[in-house]
This record gives sequence, C-alpha cells and structure tokens, in this order.
Amino acid sequence: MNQCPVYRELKDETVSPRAKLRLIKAYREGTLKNDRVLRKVLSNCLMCESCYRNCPGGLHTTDAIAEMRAEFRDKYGLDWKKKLLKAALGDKRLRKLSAYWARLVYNNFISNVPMPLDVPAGALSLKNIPRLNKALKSMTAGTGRTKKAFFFAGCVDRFMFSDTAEAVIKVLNAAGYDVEISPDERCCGMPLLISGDSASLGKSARINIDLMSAKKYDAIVSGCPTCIVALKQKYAGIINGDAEYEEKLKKIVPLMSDFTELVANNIESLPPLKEINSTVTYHEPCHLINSLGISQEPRKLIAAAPGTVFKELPGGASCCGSGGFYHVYFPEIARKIGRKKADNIKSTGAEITLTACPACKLQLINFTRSASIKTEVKHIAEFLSERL
Amino acid sequence: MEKRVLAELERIAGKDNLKTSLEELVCYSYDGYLKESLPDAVVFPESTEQVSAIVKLAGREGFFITSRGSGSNLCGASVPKKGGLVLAFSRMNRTIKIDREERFAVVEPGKVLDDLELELSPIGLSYPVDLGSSKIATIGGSIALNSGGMKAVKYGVTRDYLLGLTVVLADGSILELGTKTKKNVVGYDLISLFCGSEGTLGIITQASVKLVVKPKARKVIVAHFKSMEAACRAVNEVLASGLIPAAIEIIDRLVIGAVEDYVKAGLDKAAEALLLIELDGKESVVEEDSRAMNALLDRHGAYGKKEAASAVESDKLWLARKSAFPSMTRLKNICIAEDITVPVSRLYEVITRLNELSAKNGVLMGLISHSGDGNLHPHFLIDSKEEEVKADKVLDELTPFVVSIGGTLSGEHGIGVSKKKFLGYQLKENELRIMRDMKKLYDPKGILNPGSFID
Repeated sequence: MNQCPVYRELKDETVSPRAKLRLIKAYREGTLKNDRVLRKVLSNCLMCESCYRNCPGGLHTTDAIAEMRAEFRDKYGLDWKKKLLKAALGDKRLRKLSAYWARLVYNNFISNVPMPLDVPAGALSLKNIPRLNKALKSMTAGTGRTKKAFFFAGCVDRFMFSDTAEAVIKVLNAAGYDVEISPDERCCGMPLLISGDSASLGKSARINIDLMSAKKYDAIVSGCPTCIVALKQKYAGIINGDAEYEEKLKKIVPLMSDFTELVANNIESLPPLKEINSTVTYHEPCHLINSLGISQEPRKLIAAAPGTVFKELPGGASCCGSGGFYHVYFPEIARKIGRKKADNIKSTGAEITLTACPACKLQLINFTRSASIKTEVKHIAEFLSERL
Repeated sequence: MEKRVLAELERIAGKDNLKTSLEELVCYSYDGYLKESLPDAVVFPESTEQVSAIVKLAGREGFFITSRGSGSNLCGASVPKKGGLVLAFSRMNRTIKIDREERFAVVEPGKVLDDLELELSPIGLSYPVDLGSSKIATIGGSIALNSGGMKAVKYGVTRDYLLGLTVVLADGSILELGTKTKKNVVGYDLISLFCGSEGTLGIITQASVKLVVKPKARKVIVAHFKSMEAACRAVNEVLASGLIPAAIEIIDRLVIGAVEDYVKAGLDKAAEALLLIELDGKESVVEEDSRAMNALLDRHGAYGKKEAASAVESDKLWLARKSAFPSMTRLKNICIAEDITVPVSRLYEVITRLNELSAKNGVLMGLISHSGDGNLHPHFLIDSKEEEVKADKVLDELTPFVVSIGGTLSGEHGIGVSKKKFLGYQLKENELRIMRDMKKLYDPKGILNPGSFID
C-alpha cells in the first residue's frame, strides 16, 4: 500500500491497491449503489505496477483495474481525450500525421513564442517541453554483423525523440547487431490497453507480431520498456484463442528485451567507452523494474563509462508521475509526484540524470527545468552513444 | 450520522479530510483480519487539537470512534465494529523532532516505521522495533498494539522504547505523559498502560520514542535443517551460549515454498525448517559471533548455509521472511496469522502439537516463529467458513496447554475481535474485572473502539 505512489501522495486508503481490489469485489457483489466513484477511483492509478512488484501474494492489481476499465469502456464508451488518443494511435497514417502536426505546431509556434504564462499540458507545462525532433528516417542500420535485431522504436522515440532512437541504433550497432526498423510498425497498444480499450488492439497486435516474425531475428528490442511489456506480457491476452498467432508469439517472446538488458548482456562486445567525469544518477522507469524486473542492467551500463560518479536517487524506485496519460487526468497529483522526484534529483547533485524510458525522460526534463535544476536528462542510450 | 454532525466534523477537520461516500467507507471497513464493518464516516485528523475536538463531539453526540493507522493489524483492532467514525491517522505523520544528542524522536502517530527508518539511517540512528509489516505499519498502530517483531530477542518490544505519549482521553482532554529519561518511577506507569490497549482507553496523537545507534555491521545467515526438532535445539543452544542475535527466525517447509516462489532467494524447498539469523554490532564482534554461530549450527546438522555477502543480499533474505504472511495467499485465498507465544525451551513440543492438531482437524498450516522469544505464528490457510471453524478448533484445543506451560495466546498481534473468544483461557475473572473497571474509568460512555476485546 505504501509502495503506491498515489497512496503516498494522498494518504487515503481509497486509492490504495488493496482498496481498489476490495471495491472491485464490492462492485461485483452488487453492494455499491452505482459505479460513479469506482470509475474515478480506478482511473486514479499510474499503472506503474509497483504494487505487483511489492506484492508477495503475486496479485496483478493493474490487470484487475484494466479489466474493470474495459468493462466501463464498453458501458460508457471513451471520453474525448481517449477517443482522440485512439484515433491518433490506432491508425498508422494518422499516428504519423498527428506527430507531424504536433511537431510543426509545437516547434514553429509554441516553442518559439516567448511565454510569459505557464501553459499547462496535463501536469507538464508547455514551456518546459523540449523541442520535438524529426521522425526517425533510416529504417535499417548496418550490414554484415553476425547478429540482427528488430528495433521496435515506439511512438515517442520514433516520431518525437528520434535522437534517442538514433542513439539506440548506434549502440546496438556497436554491440554487434545490425538493426532493422519497420515502417509499418504500429503503436504497441499499451496506452489503449490501460485505458480499458483492449478490444480494438487485435489488429495492430497481429500486424506487429507479423513484422517481428517476418525474418529470423536474434533480438527484438525497444528503448521504451512499456512497449516491451506490451509485446512480451500483454499480447498473449489480446490474441488469446487465435492458435496461429499464439504460435507466432511463442516463438518471438524469448527474443524480446529492453535496450538496457540486451546491451548489458552484450557489454563485452562494446568498445571501451570514453571517459567522463560527471556525477550521474538514474531514475528507474516503472515498467522496467516493476514489470520486467530489470534494475541492475542499467546500473551496469552506467558503470561501464570510466570516471562516472554514480549517486543513487533517494526514494528508490518510485514513479515519476507521468504514468502514461495519468498526468492529463490528475495533473495536481502528478505534479506533486514530479516535484518530489525533481527534489530528489537535486539532492544528488547529479550533472546527468539518466533514465531508460521516453515518457519518464519527458517528465523529468519538465520538472527539473521548472525547478531550475541544472542537470541534463537523457536516455541511457544517448549517454552510451556519446561515449562510443 | 446526522448531517449536522457531519457538518461539524467538516468544520473541525476540513472538507478534504472527511469521507462519507459508500465507496470510501468500504475502504475503511477492514484491516489485516477477516472481519469487516462499515463506518458512518472517516476523518483524517491533522493535529491533537482536532482529535480532541472530535472526541468531545463524539461524547456530546454519542457516536463511536475507532482509530486506524494503516489498517495492517491482524486482530480487527481498527475495524469499526459498531460503526461510527474512523479516525484515520495516515495524514498525521510528521516527524516533530529527532534529538541526536539524547537519541530520541518525536513523531505523529501516522508515521510509517520504514519511513522513520529512512530518516534515521543517514544520521546513524535506528528505531529497532522491526515488524514484518514495517513497510506500512504506523508508529501509532504499533504502540496501540505493543508490537514486537523480528528483533525482540535482542532489542525488546515497542513498550521498551516509549519515553512519552500524548493521549486524547474519552472526554476530549489532552494527557501529556513521560520524561526524557530512561529511568522514571513516579506514579503508575500510564505509558505502559496505553501501549497495547488497542485504542480502548485513549487516542495516541504523538509519541516520543527512544532510538539506538545503528549497528556498524550486520550479518545475515540462513541455515536449512532436515528436521524441525534440530532447528529448535539449535535455537535453544544459541540462546544458552550467550550469543544474542538481533533475530533468529524459524520458517517451516510450507512457508519456505511459498516465499521462495516470490523472492527466489535460493532457499531449499525440501528443507523441513530454516533458520534466518541476523547478527549485528561492531564489525569484529559480528565476525567472532558469526564463527561461533556457524560452528554451533553445524553441530546441529545445518546444511545449505548462506551468508549474505552484501547489504542487497541481506535485504533479499529479510524480504523472504517479511513476505511470509502475504506470500501464503499464493496457496489459499485467506490466511489467518495466529500468535501464541511459549517459553523457548518448549518450542518444539508446541510445534509438534500444532502440527498434530492441524492434521487432526484437517486444516492447512504453515509456521513462522520469532523463535528467540518463543513467539509462534501458525498461519492457517483457509478458503471457507468451515475451514475457519477448523482453525478455531485447533486453537481451542491448543490454548489451554499453552497457558498451562506459562505461555500466552498472543505475543504481539493483540486480541481485538480475533482472539476475544479465547480470552477466558488466559485471564482470570479477577483480572478481567480490573480491566473492565479501568475501561469504565477511562471511557465511561464506551465510545472508544467499542466491540473490541474489552467492553
């Protein structure tokens, strides 16, 4: 309970994982008069899976929440924000187009206009969001290496933070992998899945499975842990009962890993990294540690750069408050969590703050900037590629 | 509860600190025990003065008050058994003061034990009462229940660490108790009376607790045994040898299986018993003690011994122990943790009886024990009312024997509602009468935690 970032903020049992499960039970038993409060309570979850990692009983509370959200979606439909999200992410061309417009509008207008006012975007403020990069262009990188990796770029790294994606490719090349990216890749589906919209994911999940099965890859990798969680852990539930795709998925799941995991396992293939004399801290992305159980690998990579002075982030592995679209719905709570994270970063005095997730990166950039903390926020892939 | 009363509560505590919707009330209807009962309202007080005003209101309007920390206790102490108001202390959780020179801390009741430890550890101090539930248990709750925990064998229990308490009495008046000294014999020991009274005599709103200097070194040792008897013999010899481990825990075969599935610490699921031992103190002393400990364990047939090589490994082995109770829900849906405590020399005898009675009554039981202080936690795994009755029968048959050898039916979990039915086995009529009279004196209208072990 105390491991739940939302509970830690509100200190009200009602939002704790234990209570959410109890309320779902009460709803199923018909003891609640209506579902109005329950819907609100269930939406107040970062889906960070900290409860799962810390539950000795092994309860998948977030799965129960996603299931209930799906039921409510069937009953009430999606709200306009989620509808927009679904339209943008559900279709290949629309996804590209939305990113294009976001980039065009944001980079050319918003980020260039001096902003006396702090315009909020969910829990973030527009003036603290970095300029968006061009979409990733190259779709293959390298030939002639013995190993081949399928790089699942994901929406953010592919269309907005392509600098991270380029870094991932460069490091994978250095670690001995030729890299392929598919222009037909669809959104992994996680944003819709946690919104309770698993029904509409069947098609894009199958397309992604086909893409990853098209050739014999040695690894399937992403710089976004949430994408890997979707592919590795959630797709089985989406295609459940479809024998053909179950067979395909079974073959590729063992190849899937997060970027940090794959590179840490191939660390001896990397050339010696350039020296750096900086204090570095690391923020653990929720899905990386809580869902995938990966915590030591990123530290191993950071330690590989000679001269690194590593400082653990106080507060341990706790969510940055981004939580997918949580910060759009509960900006106040997300802001409090984000500010606390920024304070913790400040206390380490780190010149470089590393993470391994694009959404965390965005959140951390925003909250360190708004607190005027002098630290460079980067994805580990960028940190490594700069030292190659 | 009438609208007028609710409006008054809102005026005292603030709008955001009052909860009245059915959904919110459901979330305050339970704790770590099985019983559930809905309150009429929940208030999060933020100061002693607010608590005092609320208790005065309760006296005037005649509603019940049940205090709650995190609701992690295992006896139903924080369930609002007769409805009324739940006072949830989770938001009253500040650290008022840490005195490094005199080594004590003044904290509000909602402070979570692990959070306090996080504040103390960097300055080399510690509050050594280490509960299995320290991730969520609050200082207020652990005082109300006089919690013991893993390290009682060396460090004692909650009561041993109380220097002072602020208590709101049933008439709303505020009682300030205690001194800053270790010794104090002036008058009756009211602090000790409130500690363990399960919220039936007053409401604790602030506590001053003693701290110890954090040990420089610690070593965690795990040893497997082929029989429970050998493990128990080893425990007795450890204590007789003069070694004082910070903790010496026994886990039986069923529990080893459940925790290993969660923690994956490399425990041998085929072992009949496992000892988890922590030594702490000065580095040289820990080294010397660990050599003696290892030799002793070997003599008793320990195998598959592990010594944690790092703090991370130590924490992992401790996680195995601390996860034991919730891990068992992997086996069946409901787990009732019992709490009988016996003289350490009788441990094996009582464990044998427990196993026999559980088998006879057909109920699944896994055992954990703070063996250094004779505290046994049989965990009954059940998934129906019938099985709950069977678990009760085991205790019905066992408790008179436990009491006859000088043991107790609860070492640290408290009575609440869970063990109320067994109270007569241990407390004699004249003892009970004094307790009832005290309850009347402190709480004449019976508004504090009604329906608990004493009415």
